[in-house]
Amino acid sequence: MTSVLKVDSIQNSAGTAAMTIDSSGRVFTPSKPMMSVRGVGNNALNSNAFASFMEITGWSTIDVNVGNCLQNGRFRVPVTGVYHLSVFSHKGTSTDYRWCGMYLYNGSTYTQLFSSYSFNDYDEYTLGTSFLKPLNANDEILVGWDNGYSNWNTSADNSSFTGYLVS
Amino acid sequence: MASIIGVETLQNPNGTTAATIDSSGRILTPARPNFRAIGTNNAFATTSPIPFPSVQHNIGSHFSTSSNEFTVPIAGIYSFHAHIGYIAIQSNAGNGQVDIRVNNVAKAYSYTNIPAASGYIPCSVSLLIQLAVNDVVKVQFNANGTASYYGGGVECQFSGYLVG
Repeated sequence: MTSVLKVDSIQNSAGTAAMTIDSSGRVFTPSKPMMSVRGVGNNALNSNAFASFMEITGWSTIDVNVGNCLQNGRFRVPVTGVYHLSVFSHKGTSTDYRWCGMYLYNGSTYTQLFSSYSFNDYDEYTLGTSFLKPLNANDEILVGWDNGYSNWNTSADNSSFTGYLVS
Repeated sequence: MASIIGVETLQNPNGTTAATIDSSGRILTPARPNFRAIGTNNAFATTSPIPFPSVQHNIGSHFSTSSNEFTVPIAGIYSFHAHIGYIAIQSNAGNGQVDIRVNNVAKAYSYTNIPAASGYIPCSVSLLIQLAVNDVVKVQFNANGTASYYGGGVECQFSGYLVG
């Protein structure tokens, strides 16, 4: 016989809410670590990634920050798991070449996770991606541009960076 | 009165762990099918389906490097993303198109057109879709003119997961 659990809320045994189920069967996970930010607020060269890597160190708009994942512009992993990550730059500050990339910093090493690149004939190519990545607690994800080419437009509707726990 | 359960692990009755809940209420679902695979060819190519021979993770082993396809293990709603960071037109005008295909039918595509003699731009696509067990998902590349994609590991990626 199939076993069925009928419940409105599932908590850790310490009493912290992990999941709620409403009368329509919709499941909410209010403690799921997630972050969504937009708009370049601050940036700084980070030559530990590569010589002209301009890291975004602050965002002008914070839409979501569950679990305090946002740390100095980076997504800091709160618990080991598989995460969905994305970054997008929709516009540059000139029609020069433009680069968009993401790095993983594990406390000692910077590893490039992805890059995209556009030609020098137009300033509104969309650069970016999303993907899944197993990450360890305290890993940090950082994004930015190549300072040898066009900067990113800084407005909040022209760039975004997100991360959330999948499993 | 609302019913509440306090628990650290949820399992199927046969004992397979489906979810763990830590003291902050964070839920991990270690059996959720998901994968990410990347290219290894640091050169421009037109091979299709696009190969992703380096598997970064493959929970449930549903992505195959021999076919470059993800085979759906259980009916549900899935999210996919194909990242092609760098499509080039080597000479003359041309265009390139990246499809996410289910059972070899295009369900979403992204299209680049470079009217100049040469140039390069990214071409990525995402898809949220309801699928049946044994449906097959892959990434197709279609080119006109001299369009080609760069097949390196940070420029060429395919990932997906069961949403629910």
